[in-house]
Formats: sequence, C-alpha cells, structure tokens
Amino acid sequence: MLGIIAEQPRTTELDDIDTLVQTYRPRLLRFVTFSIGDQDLAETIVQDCFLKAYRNRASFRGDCSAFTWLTSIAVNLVKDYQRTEKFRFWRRARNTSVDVSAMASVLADGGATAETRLLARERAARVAQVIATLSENQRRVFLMRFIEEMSVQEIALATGMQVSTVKTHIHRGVKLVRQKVGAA
Amino acid sequence: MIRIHLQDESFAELLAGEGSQQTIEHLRVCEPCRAEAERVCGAVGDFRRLSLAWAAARPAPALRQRAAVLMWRRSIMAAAALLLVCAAIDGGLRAPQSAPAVHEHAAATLAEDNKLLLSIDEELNVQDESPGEVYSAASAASASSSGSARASQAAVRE
Repeated sequence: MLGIIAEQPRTTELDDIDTLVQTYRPRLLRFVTFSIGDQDLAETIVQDCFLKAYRNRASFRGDCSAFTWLTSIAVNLVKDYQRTEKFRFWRRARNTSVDVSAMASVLADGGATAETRLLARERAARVAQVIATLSENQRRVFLMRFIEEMSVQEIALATGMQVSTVKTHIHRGVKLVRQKVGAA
Repeated sequence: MIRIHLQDESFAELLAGEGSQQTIEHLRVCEPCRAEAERVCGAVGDFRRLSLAWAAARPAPALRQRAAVLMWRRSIMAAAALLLVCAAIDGGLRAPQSAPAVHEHAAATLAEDNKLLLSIDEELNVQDESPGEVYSAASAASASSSGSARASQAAVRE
C-alpha cells in the first residue's frame, strides 16, 4: 500500500515533462556541465536526457529516486557523446568551458558583502579547477557524491559501477581536493 | 598532542555531511583538522551553491512540443513496423514451399497447358466440308440420277 502511494507522485512527475525539467534541470545541468567541462554540449545532453526519460518513463520502476534515474541516463548520454569523433573535434576546436567567475554574478546578494562574495567566488573557482584535473570517473563520482549529494549506492546504480569502485574513486578525489584546497 | 589526523575516508564522510561522532570529537580537539575541514567544506559548499544558481539561471528550452512530436513520430514508426511485420507474416505463410512441391506444381501446370493446346489443335484439325464441295457433290448426284432416268424412259419406249 505504501509502495503504491509512494509511486503515484513519481509517475505523475514523469508524465509532465515541464515539471520534470523545472524540478531537475538545474542539478542535472550542473552535473553534466562539470562532468564534461563544456556548457553548450551539456545543455544539449541535458535536453536529450529529458526527452529520453520522457519517452521511456514507462520503464522507470521506482526503485530509485527520479534524479538518480535521470542521472544514469545522463551518464550514458555523456559516454555516448564522448565516444563520437564530433565530440572530440569540438572539444579541440571550441571548448565553451564554464566560467566560475560568471557564476558568481548570478548569485543573489543575500546580504553578503562584496568581500564575502569575492571570497566565495575564489573558493568555488578553486574547487572547479581541482575537479577539472580529476579523471573522468573520479570527477563524475566526486560530483555525484559531494555536489549532488547522492549516496554511494545511488552512485553505483547511476554509473553501473561496483560500490567498492565508487568508494575508491571517492577516496582518490577527496585526497586530491584535500591537497589542493585544504592546504593552508 | 594529536598525532593522527583525519583519514581520507573520515574526511569524505565529513564532506558528504555524514561525519561520525568520533570525527566530530576529533575536530573539536584538533585545530589543524578543523581548519582544513572548514576550508574544504566551505569551498565545496560555495561551489555547490554558486554552480546551482548558475544552472538555475540558464534558460530552459520548451520540451513539451518536441516531446509530443517525438511521441507522434514514434507512433508512426511503430505503425509502419507493424505493417511490415504483417506483410512479412503474410508473405511467409504463402511463400514457404519446398522444392519438390514447386516442381510438382510446375509439372501439373505444364500438363494442363499441353492438354489445352492439344484440344485446340484437334478442334482446328476437324475437316469441315466447304459449301463449294457440298454444292458440287450435290450437282454431281443430281446429274447422275437424271441420266439414269432418261435411260429407263428410253428402254420403256423401245
């Protein structure tokens, strides 16, 4: 009974593509953008991801959260894109990498002083730089775990990796971030 | 003095907001680890906040219409596929004939054709009498009958 009640909102959520986009697009776009380091391509992938999810919504069994399911679709799409020659070409020719400094300009003041905003921007930029140096898998797992706040099991489900492999990637990612960001 | 600082696993738990009681206790008494945790967690938190605000500010495309078009196109494709399958099944029901069966069928057709041609040939070979022949035969018969009548009359006179 509880299962049925819990699944009903999910089905409704997946049936309305606009609600789906409105709810999950920002997080998904952030994840894909920093996974591949190209915001234009990330927008295309995220759009494809929602269309694919909507088309295949009947296959969503509800055994994980909708975000985990969407993330798994996005991960597969990213892998598909990375395999193509077109992706490699555009990556060499025109990398529309995300500008972390530009991110700060969209952040509402929220009473923060100019100094606080500047500090936040610098720290975020430092994290973005470190994330960019991680390997593809380490970066993906790091983003899922610490930025999207997914559990290890959810990451394993979304990436198709073993839990132990996910933990290994987390360990290596954290080690590097500690070295680069944690050092006084 | 604390000699053992936070290991990467404990630090990862802390960064994910799942620090154990032991880790929190350690941070309370270890100044270097606390400072490091504040730096890393603060920076990651800033990144999380700023990047989400950036992503939320990006204009989202209207996908409803495109999804509807895709679904419609998919339905058309499914219908076309169904028609193809039906055609293939229909063809499959008719087509499968073994080689001997095909051979027998051809021989029977050939025999029927031969029979038809023979009957046509027979019909064509029938010797119908032409009207000319009928007339000349009839006149020849009447001529011979009139000649014999004349002979019998002469015999009566004599």
